[in-house]
Amino acid sequence: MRFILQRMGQGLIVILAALTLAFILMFVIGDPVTMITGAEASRDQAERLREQLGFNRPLVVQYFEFMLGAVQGDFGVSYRHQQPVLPLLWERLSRSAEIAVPALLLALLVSIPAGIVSALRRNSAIDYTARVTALVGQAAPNFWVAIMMIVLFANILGWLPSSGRETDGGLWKQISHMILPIIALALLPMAYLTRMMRSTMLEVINEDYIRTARAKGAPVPRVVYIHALRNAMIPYVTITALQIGNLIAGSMVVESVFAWPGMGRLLMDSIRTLDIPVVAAGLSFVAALFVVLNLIADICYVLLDPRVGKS
Amino acid sequence: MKHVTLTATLAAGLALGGLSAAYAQTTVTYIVNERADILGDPPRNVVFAEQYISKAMFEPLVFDFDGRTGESGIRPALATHWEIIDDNTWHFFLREGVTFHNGEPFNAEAVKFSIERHLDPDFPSTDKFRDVPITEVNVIDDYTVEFVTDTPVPILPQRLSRNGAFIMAPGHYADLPLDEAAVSPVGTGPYKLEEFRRDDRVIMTKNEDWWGWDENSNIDRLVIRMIPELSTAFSEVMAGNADIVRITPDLADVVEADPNVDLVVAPTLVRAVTIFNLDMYPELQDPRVRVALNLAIDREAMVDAFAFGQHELISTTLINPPHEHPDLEPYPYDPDRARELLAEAGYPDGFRIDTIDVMIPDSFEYSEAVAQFWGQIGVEVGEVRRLESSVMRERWAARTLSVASFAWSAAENTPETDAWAVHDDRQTNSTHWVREDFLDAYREITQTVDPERREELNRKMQEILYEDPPWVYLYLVPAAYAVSNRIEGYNPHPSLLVEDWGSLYVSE
Repeated sequence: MRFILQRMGQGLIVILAALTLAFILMFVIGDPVTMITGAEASRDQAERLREQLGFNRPLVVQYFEFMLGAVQGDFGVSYRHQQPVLPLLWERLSRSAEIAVPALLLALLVSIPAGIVSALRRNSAIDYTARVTALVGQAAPNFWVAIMMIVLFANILGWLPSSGRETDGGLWKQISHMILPIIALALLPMAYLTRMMRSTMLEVINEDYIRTARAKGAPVPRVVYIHALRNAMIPYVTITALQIGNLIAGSMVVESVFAWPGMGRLLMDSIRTLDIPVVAAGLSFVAALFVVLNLIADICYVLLDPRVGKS
Repeated sequence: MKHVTLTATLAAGLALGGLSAAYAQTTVTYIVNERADILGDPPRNVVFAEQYISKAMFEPLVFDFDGRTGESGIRPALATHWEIIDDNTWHFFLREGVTFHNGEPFNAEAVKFSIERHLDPDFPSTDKFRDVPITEVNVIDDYTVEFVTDTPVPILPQRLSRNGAFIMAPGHYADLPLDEAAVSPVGTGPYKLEEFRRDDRVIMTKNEDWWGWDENSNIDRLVIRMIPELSTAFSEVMAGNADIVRITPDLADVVEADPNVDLVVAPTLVRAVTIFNLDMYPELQDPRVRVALNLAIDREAMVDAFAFGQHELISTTLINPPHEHPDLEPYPYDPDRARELLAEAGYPDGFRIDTIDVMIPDSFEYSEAVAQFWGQIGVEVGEVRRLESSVMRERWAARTLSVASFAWSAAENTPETDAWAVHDDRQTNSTHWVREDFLDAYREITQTVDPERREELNRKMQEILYEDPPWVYLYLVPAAYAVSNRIEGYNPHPSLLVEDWGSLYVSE
């Protein structure tokens, strides 16, 4: 329990630091006024707006106001949308989840068996195939893979639509729009997790207790799935939690390429247009999500390996 | 959890899914590369995509383009004609029998409401229309409206053609909160809103009662999709899932090779320029140096390389046709004379410009060409540097861009809006070029209604801009589009800010 509280405290500090960073980055980098007024505005107009938005006040004042609002969940009003920021994020979050959650599941469903088989049949054809595929999956940038998938599956073969999110039409039509984004998003975590599974599994099956289990005549599947897998899962769970970070980063690119109306694309757009409240809220949200997932991974860790909590 | 909405009607599904040939044929899909958020409140439009969408559902009193012929120039829209009563007073006579999408009648009250709503000091808009010194909008009768201005506004019709003056239904908007107004469009335009899917698409259906339809019109549904990535958008058109997208010149060959898609190349008012910064480089304070840098450029070669070889697009100054000075010719390509001028100015060995800053990829290409041409007369450019757009904006605001290239476009096609680009009062102008006689002429033309005097002032401004150039004028950038070959009547608006949606139709 003390362990979990300690982790939560650390998480809180990380979130506050992320908020501060969001504030600093946005104020150092750009001038949203030009964005809002457009290039044609006069100097007077720009100055008036700067005053209206409060940008002419001391930075310290702006910072405390921002932090005070942020910890209460109030990030202000989007410059572009003229509406409170949080509902904007929530709306898109569910759409991002539509592709991110299946992508994560896909990555898990493929990487666990592929990693196990690859480890057990070390240096076999299956192992080589899995390793090379994982290596390529990890090395190829996702925007390139995404565009290549559009060219192949949408343009040349014509099997799947190339972009957009469909809410009309039959179930297949809606799902068909999700397939390419899900695969594009899943590739990197899938590759990474497969390699992780393979290497931890290799480590575990050479441990003494596995040899003991085998020696005493336990059936192979039991050895693999009960003795080995459970221990191999410990580092795998942590890495999975970290891969969710990859998924969020990947969604910025993938959602832009596939014109998927999710949070990644909103953040990407908001950074480009210097919609500071949205970017700040988005960054803070991502940081919070990351902290929470890590916390969950830590709890899983305790459950999988009781030594961790006691030490 | 996965969450899929299954609430749509079968009919809509068939139409959008393209499963029904009859429906599919009369749906036209246009792709924009930006996110549109405000489609129900034209004065608050910020990005191009929003302006495109607004123009499909709203109308101004007058418009500046005919999509059927591709001709520019002010023409009637919701006003059929207008009269200048005196320097500060105009009467506009309105089209009768027009109704808004919700059934409200269009009349002088609606014009008064829309204009006054936008000009209210508390209204949250930074649209240029707010600078127009309109002091009164008076209803003379149901179909006559009077504009009174504080000072003369000779380009009032042009000003009224823009989004800031689109006419909105008073009954609908009078008490509507702004966040609802943003997504609840009620205008008089050729299309009305069917569905808005945020970040994804706007689906509009034909307004059967629109006054402007002709015998060709056969489009039932206009869909504007928002796809940020060009390669994705392009593949949608090439795959037949969408009809029109603006493309970059490098894709033109692919389009021409495809029998189902046409390449449309259209003139625009977007000007490729390289701007100077007189503060940053003292050498540039001498006009002879800036003329030399203009003479060093082979514009014909550049147009061949970057603008589909359309030599008529080469710029003389920064005032767009049809207001160009009749007696001025574009700077010739004359590197010898350029070297002489540099020597006269005291730089026989040239000098160094550290960077040319660019923001969009297209300007990167032509800036490298500019850098090479300058190199040939001894002006060495250290680097053509691509700036991230937020950094570019920051320097714009601080007026600290180095020598820089971008595509400049003035929204209204008038001498004064074109010339505003180099006016020292413009907040994003990092040229630091100030000529009192230019500012005087500028001040006067914005107050002069008399067409002859206006033309004199227009020419005077251009003569100054020619002998003492604040920029390197290159050429007007043509826009290229991939257009499904079933689309007819597509002439892109040269401002690239709107389209004349009513002119589109689909071939059988």
